[in-house]
Amino acid sequence: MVSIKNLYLVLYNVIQTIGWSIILFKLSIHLFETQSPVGVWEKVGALVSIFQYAAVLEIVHSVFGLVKTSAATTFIQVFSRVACVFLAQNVPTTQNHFFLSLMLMSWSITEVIRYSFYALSILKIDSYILGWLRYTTFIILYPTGVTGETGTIWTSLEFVKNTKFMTLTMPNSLNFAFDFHNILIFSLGFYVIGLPYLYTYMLGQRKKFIASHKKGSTTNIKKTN
Amino acid sequence: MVDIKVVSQRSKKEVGSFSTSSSTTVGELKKQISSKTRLGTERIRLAVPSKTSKLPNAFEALGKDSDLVSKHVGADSTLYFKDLGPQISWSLVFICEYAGPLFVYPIFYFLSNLIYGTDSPKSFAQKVALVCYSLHYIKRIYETIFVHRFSHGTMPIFNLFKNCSYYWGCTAMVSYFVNHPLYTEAPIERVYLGLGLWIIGEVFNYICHIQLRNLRPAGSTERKIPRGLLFEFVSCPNYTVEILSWIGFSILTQTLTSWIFALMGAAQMWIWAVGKHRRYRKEFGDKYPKSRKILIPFLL
Repeated sequence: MVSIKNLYLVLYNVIQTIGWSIILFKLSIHLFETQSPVGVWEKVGALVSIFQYAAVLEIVHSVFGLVKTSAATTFIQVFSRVACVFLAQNVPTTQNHFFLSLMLMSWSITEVIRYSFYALSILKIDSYILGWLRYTTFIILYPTGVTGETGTIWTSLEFVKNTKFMTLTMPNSLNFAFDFHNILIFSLGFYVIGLPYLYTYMLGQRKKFIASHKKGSTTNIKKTN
Repeated sequence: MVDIKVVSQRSKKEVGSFSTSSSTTVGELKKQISSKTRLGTERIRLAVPSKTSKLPNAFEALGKDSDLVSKHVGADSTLYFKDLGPQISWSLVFICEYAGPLFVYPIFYFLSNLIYGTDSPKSFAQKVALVCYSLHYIKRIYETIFVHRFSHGTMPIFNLFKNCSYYWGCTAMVSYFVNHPLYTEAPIERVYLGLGLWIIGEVFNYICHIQLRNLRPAGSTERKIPRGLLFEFVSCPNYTVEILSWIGFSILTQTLTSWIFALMGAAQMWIWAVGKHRRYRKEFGDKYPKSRKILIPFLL
């Protein structure tokens, strides 16, 4: 008997897998046909926005203990991505840039693997191939994803500065000022700190995954003898 | 005599085997482990596998150092050891985290030219805010030295950096906007309302701390049910009035960052209050007043 919690989580992960698969498919065809990053956001922007904003639910899942991952870590990861989508939606200079295509391609490959792996894990279906992909593709896709994200932030800076987009100046009744341009520059520093940390963490997870499957295969051999 | 095996909680390697009798206390066993591992007793945490937690590899720390080891050890005579890392005294941590705001806040008040590139005469609200913020932390340092009695001697040194970052960082965040040359002052009646709430909060907070101090005789870690004044309504009135104090400060300064700081503090104090309320209920059972709420009288 599948619990309501597991049913919901499987449904969530399956929907995300389908969503990101469509994005990956559309993105690949567009890039293959046009050989250019121009028009990428027009093609997949709406879908990316829907499925990336939906990932905010993952923070909720962590907070309410539906999944074991730390709420703080999930928040940082989801927030950085949502921020990049928000930039792509609102800053025209990012939309036709190579960095955006790199970011979206990295995300979509990662997410198709990740969400399908999670869905099968909840159903207790052990797919070694998906697991191996989950813990191996990041070696290339994390650096490309981060390059895409930081590049997208970088290409938005001039527009944000010139138009004072999302910038609040004093005096005001809240006695608060918010300089989005400076915040974006500041956020680039977090990527510099965050990537090595996340990368080494994932390498550790990969080691664990491979070790556990080696154990599994040896026990299987013992059983068959 | 029973030989107790002590195993590292992380690596599961054996630390050693130690002889204990039925009268050996946790503190005495820690001393034995200390002489073998060359770690101070305050760094040593002993635990047993949790019986209540659903999480795998969950452990429950042994109680007080005065507890008997035999009370905790199961049939397998195994205890789990964890090195808590370098320790620092609670009072020193508190003094460091409270001294910071006393230096950080006035920087923005007195060095306007340096920070904002311009200077402007300070308004009444800005002057009041400086006095309130400084007095709050002077009071906290005074209480740390002369009022509070800590049941734990030390905490991990990492907490020093974590706590100092929080208090010093939030002080900078609040002070930057309160002392800004383009600061907009709240209407005078609102400044007085905020100041009034701040004074009430600080005075009652001090009274609560004195009441808590008088509950525990010097050199003792014994716990009693707090009674009198606000303690009749809530388990942690010291937190209730501290939140009131920060609400007052936010009203008088009229800054978003003050409200954010008040909210963050309230959230943390709510977590502590829930924990304390549960401990009181667990420890004192039916003796603990049923009508007593956690943080907000009659409500929550």
